[in-house]
Order: sequence, then structure tokens, then C-alpha cells
Amino acid sequence: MKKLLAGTILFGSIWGLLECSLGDWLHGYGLSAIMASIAVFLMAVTRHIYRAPGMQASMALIASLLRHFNPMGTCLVCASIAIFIEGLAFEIIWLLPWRKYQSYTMKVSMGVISFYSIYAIGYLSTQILTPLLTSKFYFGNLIGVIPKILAGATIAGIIGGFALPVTYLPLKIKIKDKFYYPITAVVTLFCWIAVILGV
Amino acid sequence: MERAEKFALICAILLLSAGFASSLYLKKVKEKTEKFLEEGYIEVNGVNLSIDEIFEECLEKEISTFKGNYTGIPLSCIMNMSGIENPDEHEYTIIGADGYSQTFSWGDIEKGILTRERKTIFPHLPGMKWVKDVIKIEVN
Repeated sequence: MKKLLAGTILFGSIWGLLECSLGDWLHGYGLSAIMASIAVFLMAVTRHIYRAPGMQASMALIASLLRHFNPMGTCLVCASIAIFIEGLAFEIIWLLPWRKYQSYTMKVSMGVISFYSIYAIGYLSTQILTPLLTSKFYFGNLIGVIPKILAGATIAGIIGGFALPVTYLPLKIKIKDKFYYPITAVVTLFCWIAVILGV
Repeated sequence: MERAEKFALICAILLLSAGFASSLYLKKVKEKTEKFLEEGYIEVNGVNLSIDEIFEECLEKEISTFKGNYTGIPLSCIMNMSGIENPDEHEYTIIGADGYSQTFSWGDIEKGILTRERKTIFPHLPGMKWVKDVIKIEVN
């Protein structure tokens, strides 16, 4: 349990740092789908390693908390909520019983489906929440942005088709407790300091 | 292949197809509006205004935002150029060359600017409300 908690804080912090640094940079080039794919990949890898449902939503909560310290734009909570929604979407998709099928067809298909839909859900949620929280929501604006969301989600889906089977490759990493906790603490601290200082 | 695997595969193909169709649609929209962009016009309430004309008529101003400082023409000036009566009684939909659109109240329009690069900047609103490559402003 202690190990899981430390892992959740560590990977949530890494995700948060990536959102605040790489995410901002990619967003500037219209490549948000890549950041979303990295986030889903991180969630898939940690689910495979720790095998603990709920961990990824908690990681998303930590990442969104970090995002709150380094908000993009005038809406403080919008990006944070979107990240948390991505975590929840992951948990819902991973509740489905697809993992009992070990074939590559299933892994590739679910890679496409999960990465595609998590990106689309995250994007859609910002398009609904941001106007609601900052000005006024117009349904017409949401309809207008749907082709853009689906086009971006295709990039995430293609990445997912390759990335999800990779997370299931047999890879065993064993770290002794006396190293695990200090490394976790140092990396987490680094992520938080970097975000708060606006690196 | 089991039924569940077939179902997942079909779902993945359908999602990707929808994505590719959307990309093609966006490409077509961009191709259609490219000529308008090259000619340097913006359609405001059915009136075609050239960018040069707008920048000659209105005074440029600099605003500071969370993304830095920007210089451009107040959107309210562009609206006045198109001859809209009672501007505060309308809502304004700004449309970009890729079909992206955002709707604003007069209060928001009064605070926004249009840059030379045809990008609308609203210092008080999040980045997703900013529209790039503006080709049309509809008055509702």
C-alpha cells in the first residue's frame, strides 16, 4: 500500500511536470494529441506495473493539482479538470474486460480506442468547461470544433495502436525498498519544485 | 479471432475512419478559405473588408495577456466599420480558416483585438477563445 501511494504521487508528479512543460510547448504547435498520448501511455504502464485500479485517477488528480500551480491561460481550473477527466476516462475503459484477451489484435485495437477516446474526451471537456467557467457556453462553437477534435484524436489513436502493445512487453524492474523510496521522494520533489518555479 | 476482438477491431477502424474523414474535411475547408486569406479580406456581417483597409482606418493598440504582449486593431473598430447598429445588442461569431469558431458578447469584443496575422486576442479570456486566421465575423 505504501509502495502504491509513493508510486501514485511519483507518476502523478511526473505527468504534472510534463503537462506544464512539454504540454505547453506541444500545445503551441497544435500537437496536444502527443501530450495526451504520453499521459495515457504513462497510465497504461503504471496500471500494468502496479495492477491497482483507481491509481490512474489518483495520478490524474495529482497531475491536475500541479497544473493548477502552473495554469495555462486565464482559467485556473479548466486544464486541471480536463486532466482529471482523462484519468477517469482511463479508469472506465480499463474496467472493461478486454485485458483477458492477450492477442495483438485486441491490444492494438484497444490502444487505438483508448488513446483516441481519452484525448477526445479531454479536449471536449475543456471546450465545454472553459466557456462555462469563464464566459458563456455556445453549443454551435462545440459543434464547430468536433472535426478538429476527431482529427487530433486520430493522431492519438495511431500512437495508441503502437504504444499499448509496448506496455505489455515482458519487462521486469526490481528496485529495493531502500532505493525505491528515496528515488521516489527526490523525483517527486524535483517535479514539484520545477512546476512551482515555472520551469 | 473471437467476437470481442472483432468488435474492438471494428470500433478502432470506425474511430480512425471518423478521424481521417474529419482531417479531410478540415483540409477541404482550408483549401476553400485559402483564396480568401491570400486576397487579404475578412467578411464582417456580409461586408468584405480588406486587412489593409482595416489597419488604415483603425488605430493600433497594444495589450498584455498571459501569453505576452500583442499589437492589433480593436475589434470594436472593425464592427463599427461594417456599419452595425446597436452593437451591444448582438452576439458575434468569429470564424477561422479551419472552420474553428467562437461566439462573443459585445463586452468581450470591446476588449479584443485583431493582429496583422489575423489572430483575435482577448486578454481576459482563455486561449481556446482566440481564433487564428480569421476569415469571417458573423453578427447574430
